[in-house]
Amino acid sequence: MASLALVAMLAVPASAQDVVARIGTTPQRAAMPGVAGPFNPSPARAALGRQAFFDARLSEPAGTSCASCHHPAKAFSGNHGSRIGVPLGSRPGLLGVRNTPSALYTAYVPPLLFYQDDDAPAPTPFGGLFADGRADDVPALVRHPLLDPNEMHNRSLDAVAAKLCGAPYADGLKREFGPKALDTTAGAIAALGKTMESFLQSREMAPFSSRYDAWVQGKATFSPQELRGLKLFKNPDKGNCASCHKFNETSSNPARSMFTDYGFDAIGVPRNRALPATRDAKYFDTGLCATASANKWPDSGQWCGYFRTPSLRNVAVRERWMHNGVFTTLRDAVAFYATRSIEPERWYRKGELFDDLPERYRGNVNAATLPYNRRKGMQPALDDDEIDAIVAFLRTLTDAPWAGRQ
Amino acid sequence: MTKPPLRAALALAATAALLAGCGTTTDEASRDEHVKYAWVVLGDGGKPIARVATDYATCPNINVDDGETRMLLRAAAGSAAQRTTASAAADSKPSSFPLNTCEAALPTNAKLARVGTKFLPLPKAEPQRVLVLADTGCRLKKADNAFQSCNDAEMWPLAQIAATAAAMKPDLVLHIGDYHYRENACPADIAGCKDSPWGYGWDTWEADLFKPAEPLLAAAPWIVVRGNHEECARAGQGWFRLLDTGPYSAARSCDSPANDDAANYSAPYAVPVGGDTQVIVFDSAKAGKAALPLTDPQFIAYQKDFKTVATLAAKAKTTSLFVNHHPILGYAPIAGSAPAGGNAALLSVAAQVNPSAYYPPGIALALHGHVHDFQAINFSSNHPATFVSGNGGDNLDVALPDPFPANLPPAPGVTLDRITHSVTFGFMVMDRAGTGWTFKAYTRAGKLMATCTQSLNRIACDKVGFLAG
Repeated sequence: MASLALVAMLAVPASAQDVVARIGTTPQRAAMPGVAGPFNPSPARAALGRQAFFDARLSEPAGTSCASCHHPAKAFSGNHGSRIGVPLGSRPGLLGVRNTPSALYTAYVPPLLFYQDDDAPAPTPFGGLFADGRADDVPALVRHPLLDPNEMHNRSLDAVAAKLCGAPYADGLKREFGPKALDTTAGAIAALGKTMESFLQSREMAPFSSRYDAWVQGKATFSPQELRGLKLFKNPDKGNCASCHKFNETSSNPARSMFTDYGFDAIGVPRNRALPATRDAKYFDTGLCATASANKWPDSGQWCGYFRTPSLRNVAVRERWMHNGVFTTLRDAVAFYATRSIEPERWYRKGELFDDLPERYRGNVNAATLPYNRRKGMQPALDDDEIDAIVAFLRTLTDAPWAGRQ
Repeated sequence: MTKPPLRAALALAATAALLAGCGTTTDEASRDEHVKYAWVVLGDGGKPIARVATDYATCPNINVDDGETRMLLRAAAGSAAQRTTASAAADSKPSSFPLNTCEAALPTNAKLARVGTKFLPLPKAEPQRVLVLADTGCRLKKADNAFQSCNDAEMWPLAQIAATAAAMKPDLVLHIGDYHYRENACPADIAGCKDSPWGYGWDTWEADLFKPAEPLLAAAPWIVVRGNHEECARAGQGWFRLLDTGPYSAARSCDSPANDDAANYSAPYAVPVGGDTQVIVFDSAKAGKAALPLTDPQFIAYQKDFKTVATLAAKAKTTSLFVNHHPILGYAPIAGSAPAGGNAALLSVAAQVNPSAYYPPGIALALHGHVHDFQAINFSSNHPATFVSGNGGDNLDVALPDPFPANLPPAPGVTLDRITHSVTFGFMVMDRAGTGWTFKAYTRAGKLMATCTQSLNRIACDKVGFLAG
């Protein structure tokens, strides 16, 4: 594998002031983006975006909206009735390839960038929408599920634009974006993207109303187990979860507690053999390296197996966990971190580590970050009670509308 | 009041009685309310230098073995015009030093030194225990979105480490750089670092080092090594006022970027540790990440320094410990990739000055910080065993892999034998053991994690691989 340093060597100067170089087509920035928000989207646009989000006419055949998979009852996640870890699309029997992430807090994800702290050996990528960071913003995002044959299955953006022209909120789009906004496909898709962006910036989609948020404000208490879980979550010798799922419980700004650093990690989750695609032994979802290749990063293979660290807000409301939906309980997801390499036979068929990656990319898997740096025979960093405590803490991250549904 | 050494207690009796009789010194400059901090650093040849930070216009008197002299002004209180820093101009400010730094050279064999009622730690002829730590400050860095909870001792453990380590009664403290991390303002919404000083002035140095490390500053003289956080565009101004053991001057103050090309480098020097060991202090504050061309001014500067190291290490019958901030034959862990080796800039120079050996003959061991972990590395090739002790307070790095990859040398031509490593907060202790030293890695709370014995340029640790904290 080429060294990460190679990435830095091949960086070329860029023009924008805070862009210190470009790695392929991706900017390397002088600083990480500041904390996003609060957003104040136009209520009219947000309402239009909400209508579009719930518009089941936008699929082919009709019947599947964004909300079908990003279901409000599941904190805007879910798998559209599928029980195997990835969502059903608009056509019977056809499935997407990744577990549906929650659409909540999407507005806080920064565009894809590289950043290198002066102590770091090489620049590392952050941000971008989707688990592989391939879209920089919501207007760029929306076309992907609309056109994905396994999701909403539209044959073209022209077809989507035609549906928008006939949508009950078409007049609203024209009022917002001008009477000719829907006359062209580009105009219609742009209008859709902007309204969707406004909706995702709305308070409904970033409520910050969890018990955790109330606790930070001194308006709620944690049980001893939840408090213990919080400490274990932070403790670099124990869960060390906060090293990637960053938060700041001393901040009055809830956006500092997104429970992600928006970085990418290869954690080597087990293969989800319930997915039809995995019947093909050569099928692998390798995550970020597809984006790396598309963006012309040198040695894109070094990023195979990397997926963006998701926010843990509302994590307890998910139907399934990990990018391929392999885990059916939140507890399993936490226990996996603690015992991945200590008890590989518990997680991998025949104990074959990192079996959801081609062998040539298994060396990309992070074996350095605690607690999954342990080797077979060692004591795990977390015992069963401690795993339970972390799960208890994670349940405090559920926003008020879903508090009773986790 | 700092306790005097027991052996000097009798000699102190008369002085102490005098102080008790009149309550305080009659010299206003020497009163405790003015002398905020007092410490001792060891310079070239191990010469002890007493330093104080005082808010009084005149330097205090220092009483050494009952002889009293006035300390000399090293750096007058003041605030230089804002210089370019490592941060954006909007996130920088002039460095204010409202206290005078005063100093006095001490006799190597002084039995007692006192400023006001503060007794200063003095070097021992044969130090038995050396406390080693590095990378101790609390990170406030806007570009990283990193705001460590400096107000929470659980999240920033330097105070605990200093208390734990001071209780072990070291004879010397060896700090291997990166004392200062509070570069930018703590956002108003974060209580964890609320009201923390920031920037490169005295208030930040006090919060990041002098206050939390006070027990260690009182416990023993310090050997101070410069880290990359103390280069001129960062905390270099405080470095020269407070810690650097050479003479202070405008040219070596980091106040003006025009002098950075010289002030970012210092000539190596040796500090004897008893009659058979010496620490060779090497300033690598400005070392970059890339190998240097032969004609690069930095190459030329480090080349000269490595040649000086060779001269120092040629001292007969002496175990020489090479100490600089950036690991040379150490590792930098990378999540999802094989660890990187030593600092490429320093390696490029070391390889040219000492082909294949990297270090000159006479260097037994190397000690570093910079990587925020603990590493104890033994080589089967003839290279000095290496320690990294960079887990003193700033956010920790990820762990090195365990088992460690085969055939992954930190530099070409070096063969790894065994490595012991950890990523919990802590420090290292060197205990004299016959003609060599025993090296012990401790957690922040004082739990012993590993013990390594030295034989010439080799070490043997009682544990191998990753150590849980």
